[in-house]
Amino acid sequence: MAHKSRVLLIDDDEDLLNVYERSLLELGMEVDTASDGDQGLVLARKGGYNLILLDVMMPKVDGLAFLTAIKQMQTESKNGPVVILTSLDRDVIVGEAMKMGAIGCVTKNDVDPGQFAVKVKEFLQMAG
Amino acid sequence: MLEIAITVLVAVANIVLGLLVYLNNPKGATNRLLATLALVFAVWTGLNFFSLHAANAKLTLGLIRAVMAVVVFKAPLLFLLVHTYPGNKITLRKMYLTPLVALPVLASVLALTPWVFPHLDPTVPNQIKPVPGPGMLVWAVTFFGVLVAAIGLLVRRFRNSSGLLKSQMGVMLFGFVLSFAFFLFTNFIMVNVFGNPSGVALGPVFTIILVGSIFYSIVRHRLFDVRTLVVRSVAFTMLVAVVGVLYAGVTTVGRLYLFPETDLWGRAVGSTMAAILIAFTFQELRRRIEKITDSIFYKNRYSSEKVLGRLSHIMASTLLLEDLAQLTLREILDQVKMTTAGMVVFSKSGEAWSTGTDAKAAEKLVRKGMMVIFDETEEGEDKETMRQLKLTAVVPLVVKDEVIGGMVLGAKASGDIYSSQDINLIEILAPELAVAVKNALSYREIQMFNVTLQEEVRKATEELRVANEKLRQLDRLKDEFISIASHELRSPAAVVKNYVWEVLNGKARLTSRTRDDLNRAYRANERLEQLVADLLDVSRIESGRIELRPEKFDLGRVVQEVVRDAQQKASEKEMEVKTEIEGGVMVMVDPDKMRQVVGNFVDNAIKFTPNKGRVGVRVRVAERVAQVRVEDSGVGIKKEDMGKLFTKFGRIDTSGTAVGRTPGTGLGLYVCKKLVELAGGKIGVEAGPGGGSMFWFTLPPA
Repeated sequence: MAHKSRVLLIDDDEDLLNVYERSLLELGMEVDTASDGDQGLVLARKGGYNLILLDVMMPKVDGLAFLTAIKQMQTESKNGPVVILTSLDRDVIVGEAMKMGAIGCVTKNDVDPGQFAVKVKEFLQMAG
Repeated sequence: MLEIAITVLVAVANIVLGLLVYLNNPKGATNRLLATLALVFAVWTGLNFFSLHAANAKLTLGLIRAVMAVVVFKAPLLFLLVHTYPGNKITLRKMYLTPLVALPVLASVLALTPWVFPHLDPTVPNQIKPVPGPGMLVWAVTFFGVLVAAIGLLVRRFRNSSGLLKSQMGVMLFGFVLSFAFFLFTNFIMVNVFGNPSGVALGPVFTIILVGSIFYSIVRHRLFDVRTLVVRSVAFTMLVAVVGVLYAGVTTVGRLYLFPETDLWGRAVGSTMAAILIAFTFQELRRRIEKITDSIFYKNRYSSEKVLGRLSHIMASTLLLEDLAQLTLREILDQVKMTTAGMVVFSKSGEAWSTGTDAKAAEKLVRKGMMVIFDETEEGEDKETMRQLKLTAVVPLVVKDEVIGGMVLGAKASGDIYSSQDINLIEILAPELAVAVKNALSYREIQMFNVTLQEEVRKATEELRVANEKLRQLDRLKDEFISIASHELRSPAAVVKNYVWEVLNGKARLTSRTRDDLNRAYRANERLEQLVADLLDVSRIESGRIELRPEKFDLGRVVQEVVRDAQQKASEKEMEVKTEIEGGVMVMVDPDKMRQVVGNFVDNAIKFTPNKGRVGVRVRVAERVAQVRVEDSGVGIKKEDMGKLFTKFGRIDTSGTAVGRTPGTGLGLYVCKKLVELAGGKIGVEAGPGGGSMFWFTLPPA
């Protein structure tokens, strides 16, 4: 029996956080949320997440710096890969993030909650 | 003995003085008149002497008469001399000239007759005392009348003149007075008052005083050049010697060899031939001899023509004021052998530019507008200034009555005063130099204007640069703003989308009306999202900030993906998007952008086609380019609307058609066009075969 997938969701928009959390929970995943980068890192340090969903455009947090930090704690925390969330379409940030180890991105405006969940599942499968 | 000595001395001195003056300026009237006067004096001296020591009474009387005949000419000569001085031409009107000459001639002739002196006084045997006759009155009136007129004229000219002329006239006047006083004393006072005629012998000395003083007053004027005088005299002497020898030689030879018989005829022929020979060769000899003496004595001589030629050349060779001044002054210094030369030039702004001299002091002198020669100026402020600056000549440069500057020259290196040649040179040079200087000034003004202009251009360019920079900044700010704004706008839009969806797909039961309301809200929100996305695209495209990441990929594959994603929307309208995709159509462009374009085409096709219609997508290589066509059986596009399609906000009103009103931003196709063109392709639309539309774009193959 497959373990329940554990997903870490980090986005500064509380509303989005709420609705995404709900759709993931409905798919039977375990979801932890953080609405800022520091909180996110604290949770990430605990480790064990199959997937980390990260909004790259958060105030007071440099999304790319976050990525680096996550990478650095990889050996201890053993988290899954990072997928970035963005409301700007495929842009410079995305390219940079991909270079820093993100495995994909989801454009928040392009997906409804159903599609969102489907995409997350696909990424989880990719992560193995 | 003394008498003889004095007589000879005076006669010779007169001749020498006369010759010197004549040779110096043979064409000048003043010189000629003085020479003639000196000659007259010489002759008179001789005659006077002989008259006092004649062998017999008859000879004595004859000589005395001769003396009177000659003496009378002193007066008119003196008059003319006073009138003409220092000019080169006699300017006395014919009206006066005729009697001035005629009367003395008459008196002279008269003197030779017994009318003037009929005989000697027999009562005083040891003294010579002529007895005056009736003609004496005529003679005396003529002589003294003209003489008094001459003196009167001299006094008047003295009073009316100024400067150098005045001092010269003064000298002449002094000489007159002194010589006449002397003469009066020796010939009249001593004889008649003291009864001692011995002083008469000394009488002739007064002529030296007179001629000498006039001579001196000329020397102080540039009519006279000491060196010229010496050289010409030497030349003349040589000439005379050569001619004399030649003449003597030829006649001697002729007499000895050609005509051994020394008869009168032979001698006459011989002399005549010699004379003819001399006549022919005289000029040539003179020229040769003068050339030789010139080359010996005149190392400092220069050819005015040559110097002026060189100066003209210099003045034409440069437009730079500094060069012009330096070269010209240097040339003058070298060729004319001056000690110093300077120039002052007034610019339009009133500044005085100068070289080789003090600008301020020179300016004052130059602005007088007239050429000033030190020696010819009266004592005064100007002369003092010139003395201080060691200037001998101030030559203003005048163009069209405006004094634009001046040349100031020092003394000649040889110490001589300026000769006529020097003055002439300067007088010819001045106007030409003035024009050259004016040109140089104009050129300088143009250059300065040029510099000013360049400065203005530089300033303007700088301002433009600053303005440009500001604009660029504004542009950057605008883009930043748009980026931030669109991000901010899209976040809440995402939220709305998600929650409405949740409600629509959630567990709660919805009335059809509620469902309808929510659907409308959802769709409106989608439009909002699309609009923000489009605005962002347009902004980025327009400012050239669009990021393109070209990859080599199979166009068909991307199209497949897009079509797959669109099937859901199509099925809502009971349609299916059909595809005809050639494999291996490789392109080298940004795949995401192409996804966007194809997605836009397909979405439009679905939107503008009524239910149960057909949408087809074809990908192939045609005419060496990759081609994508999206056909639909929709409402089509009217001919007049075709032009609006790919423009900003170019929307088409489809109300009344089978699809009803079709919401859209009006930006989609505009962005597509830009994206395709940026990828190096072409885009367009045609009326579809089945009444609908056919949108296409092509890309260059990879």
